[in-house]
Amino acid sequence: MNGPILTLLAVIVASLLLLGALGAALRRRAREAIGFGSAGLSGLGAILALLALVLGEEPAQLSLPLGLPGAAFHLVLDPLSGFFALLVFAAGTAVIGYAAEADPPGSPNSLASMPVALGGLALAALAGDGFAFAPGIAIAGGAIWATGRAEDPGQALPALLWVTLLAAASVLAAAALLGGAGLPLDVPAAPQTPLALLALLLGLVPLACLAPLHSWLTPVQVRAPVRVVAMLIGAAVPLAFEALVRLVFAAPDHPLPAWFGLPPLALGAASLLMGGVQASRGETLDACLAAGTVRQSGIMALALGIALTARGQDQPAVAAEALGALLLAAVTQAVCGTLAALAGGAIRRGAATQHLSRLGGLIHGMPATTTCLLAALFGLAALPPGLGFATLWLVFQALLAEVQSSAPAFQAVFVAAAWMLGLSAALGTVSLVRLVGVACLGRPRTARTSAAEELPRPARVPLLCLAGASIVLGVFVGPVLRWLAEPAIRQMLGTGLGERIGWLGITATPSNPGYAAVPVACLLVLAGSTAWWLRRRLRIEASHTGPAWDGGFAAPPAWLPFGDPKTQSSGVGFTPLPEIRLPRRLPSRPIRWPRLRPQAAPAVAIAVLAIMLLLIRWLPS
Amino acid sequence: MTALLALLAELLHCALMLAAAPTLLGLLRWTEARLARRRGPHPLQPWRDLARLLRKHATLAENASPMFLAVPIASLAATAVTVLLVPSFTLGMAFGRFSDLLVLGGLLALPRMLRSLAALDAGTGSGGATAARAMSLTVLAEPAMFLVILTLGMLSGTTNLDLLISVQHGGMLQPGGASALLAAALVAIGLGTSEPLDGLAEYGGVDLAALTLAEGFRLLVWLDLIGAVFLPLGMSPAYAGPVGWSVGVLAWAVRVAVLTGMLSVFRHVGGHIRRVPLLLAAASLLGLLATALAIASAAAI
Repeated sequence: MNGPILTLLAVIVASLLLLGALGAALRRRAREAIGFGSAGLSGLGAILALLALVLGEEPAQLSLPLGLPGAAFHLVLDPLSGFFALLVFAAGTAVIGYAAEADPPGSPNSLASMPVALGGLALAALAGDGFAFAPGIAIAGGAIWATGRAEDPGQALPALLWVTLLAAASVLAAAALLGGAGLPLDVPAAPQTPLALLALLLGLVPLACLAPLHSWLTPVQVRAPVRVVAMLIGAAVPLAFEALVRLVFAAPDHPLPAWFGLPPLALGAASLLMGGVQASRGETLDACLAAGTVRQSGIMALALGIALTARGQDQPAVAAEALGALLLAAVTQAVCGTLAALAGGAIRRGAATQHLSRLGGLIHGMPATTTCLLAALFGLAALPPGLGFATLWLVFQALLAEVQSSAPAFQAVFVAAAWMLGLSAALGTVSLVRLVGVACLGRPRTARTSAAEELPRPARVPLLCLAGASIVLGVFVGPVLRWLAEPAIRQMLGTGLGERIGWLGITATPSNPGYAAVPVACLLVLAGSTAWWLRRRLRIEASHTGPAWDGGFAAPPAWLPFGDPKTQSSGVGFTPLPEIRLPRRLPSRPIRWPRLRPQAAPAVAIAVLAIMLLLIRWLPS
Repeated sequence: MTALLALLAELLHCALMLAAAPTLLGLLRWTEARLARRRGPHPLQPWRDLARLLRKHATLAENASPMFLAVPIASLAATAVTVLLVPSFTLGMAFGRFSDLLVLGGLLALPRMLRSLAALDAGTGSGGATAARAMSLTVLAEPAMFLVILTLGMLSGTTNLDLLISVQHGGMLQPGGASALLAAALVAIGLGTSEPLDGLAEYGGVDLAALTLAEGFRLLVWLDLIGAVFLPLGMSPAYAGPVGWSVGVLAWAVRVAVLTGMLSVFRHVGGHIRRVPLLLAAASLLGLLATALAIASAAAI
């Protein structure tokens, strides 16, 4: 069954790319048709990927007559590629559905590039080797860049293009260093493995938004259109981890040494700290959301590091836990990260600003968007029964097992990681309170904010669907792991979580009860409904409203109908940690990325890829 | 039969906690007043306050949102669930399987987050300051909490509270030094995160009653948690039946009374802890020291 599904998915990818070309040709009149067509194709892709995961049949492979002789593209539908294809298609459907209604592209070029970007990302997700992954991610980067370029000709978007091209080049280089066989390897050439990993890390760390190479993301998130940002952080960031996982767990019989886990652990800890602190100190909504993505990537990198270390020390059960946490974090990023980006875009659209010092009181004018932002940040924070909490629980259990059984040198590292995980959990909560509390609650700080308008009704549908998904997936985390993640874990490690996944939740060891998400959620609902029922039963409703005591400040002047904005919190002082800056030796001015004219971009992309392909053909010989 | 006894024990535990929470608040205020040589309110005053608040109409701030109304109920619900999960007089209650330490930590953070949102909702300066302070304390408290849970997990082999208490009940969590440090760290975290309700002055009536009850529950959960993990004397399994339960209830009452007295003395001596950030930083250090001790002793074995 996987063979036909893979063929259908390949047809969908090709159709999306064709639809983009068609959009460029048909101009603006085809806007709605292109939007609905792409969303429909993407939705179909998500259903097919889910079907493949649930059926759980043997992997299928498809060779495409593209590429150099002897180095044809291979698409593969195995549990890992099915898992990430599902995430890409699901996030893509929501983004295109939102963009079609609320954020229509301004020019025919940008109209065409949305399906192309999704097609490229799906191609990368289904890639069976480096030769298919690299063009996929490069096409997606170019298309995302073209989407946003018409609206932001500044420095932010060229950085995005260079980051995706670097990722593509590094995957090709890694594949070449490992014998030119692409990403799935039978036997890694041992002396070349560290070099290949280094190449891969150098290229994929910026795309994965891991500190300290994450600084390009904030300008992109602040300046680029929301559809660009959402596609990038919801679909492209998890794909960087797919490439990493595929390479480092490629050879089941030849695990990498345990110390290979240390670089991802260090990158993860740095990202947790820097992302968390910046998310709780940023001055704009988008900057905080970008920092939240860095923090989420940090959790994924931390889980990857634990999994690698555990596998190197022959602890497959712990490695399975950590890999499960990584996959769950990828789901969180695809669902909650996309939702947060879309809700941030809706606020930018409705209130015409993203500065926290100008927002406030949005819950009155934009209740649906506020609810969605709350759901997204709740999922990203570590509060039960959200998706983020389940991820944190799994990472913590893996850390605990590692501290108990690792070599002494590693134990200190894992204790520090546990401390960092706690700090990151707290900073996630701070970010939630600060963004929702300052931007959406309280009094409006400007007249424009007080007149903020909700999204058009159809554009709210993707947001509400994602919000519902984030809650349902968080509560039913056991089935999510069993049906979506477990096959991929088994494929990568040869063993899975097995009996530790139940319908009601997850357990640390078969004999120990663990995190029972469904009962905890049921108890919360039961207690809440009982309290609500008692409140209604007492028939004591608020009879009247009045001005809140404002701490003795003088009455505001007449031209400030919502009170003096200076008398309410602007979100400063929510964390006692100092601002984290990079060392002074690094350039303090923003990097000036080489600017490209749009006409030159395809030529540059093709030239880079051609050089890489030729290099690969030459290197093994 | 065992399941039935577990359910009965859970119901009895619920009733006990519901009765004890407001009484505990009153007892704490009364003891503190007596230590300061004041007469103080009657220990049952919180019950009278609750009865009065339940009859009163609430006045809402002009720009209060639906979230403002939802927060007291959601806070009470989250705290009530923690009450259900932390054992008091017996082990193996119906929901004992779900009482994971990380879940409890998350559920204790949930009302703090909700109350911070409510404090920001009124749009007042004092509300913002309250939220900022609560979040700053969260940033300091959670890493310490994680270290404590990590070390308890190392010492007992589980993060489930019921199983952990069973291990402690069977013999002391070894090494004892680490165990003592953990107890001190937990006390510091509990004290550090017990912020008063002064930022929620906009609440009144039934909503304030819900928040007061939630505060009583929260305090009781902390005392139960520290008492049950480090002094589980008299706690018997749920299948021990009424005789075992009676002993357990007596032991629980003594434990809570002693801990309440200690808390009052601490607050009296230290005032209403001004330098909470230092206290929480000390909790982190104590947790780290306990982890190092646990690792060192495991290596020695």
